[in-house]
Amino acid sequence: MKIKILIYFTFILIISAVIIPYSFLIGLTLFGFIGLLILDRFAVKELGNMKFWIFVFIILIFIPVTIGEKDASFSLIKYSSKNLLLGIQMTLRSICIYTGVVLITRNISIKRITHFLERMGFSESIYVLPIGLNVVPIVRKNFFQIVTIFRLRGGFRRNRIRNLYKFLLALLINTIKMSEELAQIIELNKNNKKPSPVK
Amino acid sequence: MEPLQQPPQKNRSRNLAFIGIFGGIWGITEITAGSYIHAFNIPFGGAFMSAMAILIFLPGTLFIDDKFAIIKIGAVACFIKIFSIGSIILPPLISIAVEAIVSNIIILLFSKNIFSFTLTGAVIVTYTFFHKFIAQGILFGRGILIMYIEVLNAGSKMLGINIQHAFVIIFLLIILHIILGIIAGITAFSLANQAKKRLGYK
Repeated sequence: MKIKILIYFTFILIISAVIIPYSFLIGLTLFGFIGLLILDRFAVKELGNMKFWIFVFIILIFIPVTIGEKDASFSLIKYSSKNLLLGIQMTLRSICIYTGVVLITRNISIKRITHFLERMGFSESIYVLPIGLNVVPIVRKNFFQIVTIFRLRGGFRRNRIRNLYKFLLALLINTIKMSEELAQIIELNKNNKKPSPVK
Repeated sequence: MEPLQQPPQKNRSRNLAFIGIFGGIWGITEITAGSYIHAFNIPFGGAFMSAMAILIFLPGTLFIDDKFAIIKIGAVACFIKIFSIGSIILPPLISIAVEAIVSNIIILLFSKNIFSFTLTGAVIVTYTFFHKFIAQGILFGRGILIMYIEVLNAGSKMLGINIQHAFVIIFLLIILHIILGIIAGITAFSLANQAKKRLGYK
């Protein structure tokens, strides 16, 4: 029963953080904290993650002070009030999403999430969503590799359109190859046929 | 010359891998390029974003044996966009969902050929022109009239036409969106075919 409540709570928290107007975000963050305390009070420790708070500091202070039209000041430090407001909104939303993610990862095993999604009728999403999330660093690496290759071969100075087309083609071919490799790995895992070590 | 690789097998794992990766790439593009475009308030950035999306998901569909591939790719992109730290999330989410659903319907109706790709490109990029009116004007209560004036101002600046010729500005903007969409659609089809040839797919 608790697991169900946890899943629904996290789902509502994350979706609301995206959907609701900014003025309600403070209320939603409080709702998230109270939920966190009731459902898993030990998870509050996880919110003490330094990386997360450095990120929050950058959004809240660094951006309004450095970017945008500086129309207000606090103790001789000029800042952009528009960007500060945006920073607060972004921070509150990040806290809501982070709270939800912490709750889910601490309390529910992947098997349970899989089972829950299967029962909801989203059986494919169990495989597809993690692939989508984990592909980010690989795509980034591939992108910069191809950019470097193109730069070494003369860049985009001449025949810009033709070179851009070739660049897109290289990216697409790389992506397709990556997908094929991943499909093979999924198939191997499914059949429990692990490749034998090279002798 | 023999093809380097065997033609792709039609199976579920392959579809899942392709949907996951193409959806992931669309999502990353929306998070990175989309956030910059919104942050710097680039006029008609939505049209460029949707053109970029077309170049990602349309070639992908040629390699996936699934009727609802584009909707699934769009769902993955939406999921990744949720974790974006940008200040504007909901309008792009609605846009991604509409783009995926409309493209899937067009591809289902006309199958995967150059005509359907071009039509999808034109429809999707033109939709972004009206997306502002629907999402911000109606859903978020900014009012259609305000959005209309904003679009006219941006259009008159870009085209160098006096704002009094509102009809001409709107007409030209729609035509420009359609042309951009057609170019994106044709490029997507050409890219997919070239990739197929080079990888030795039939």
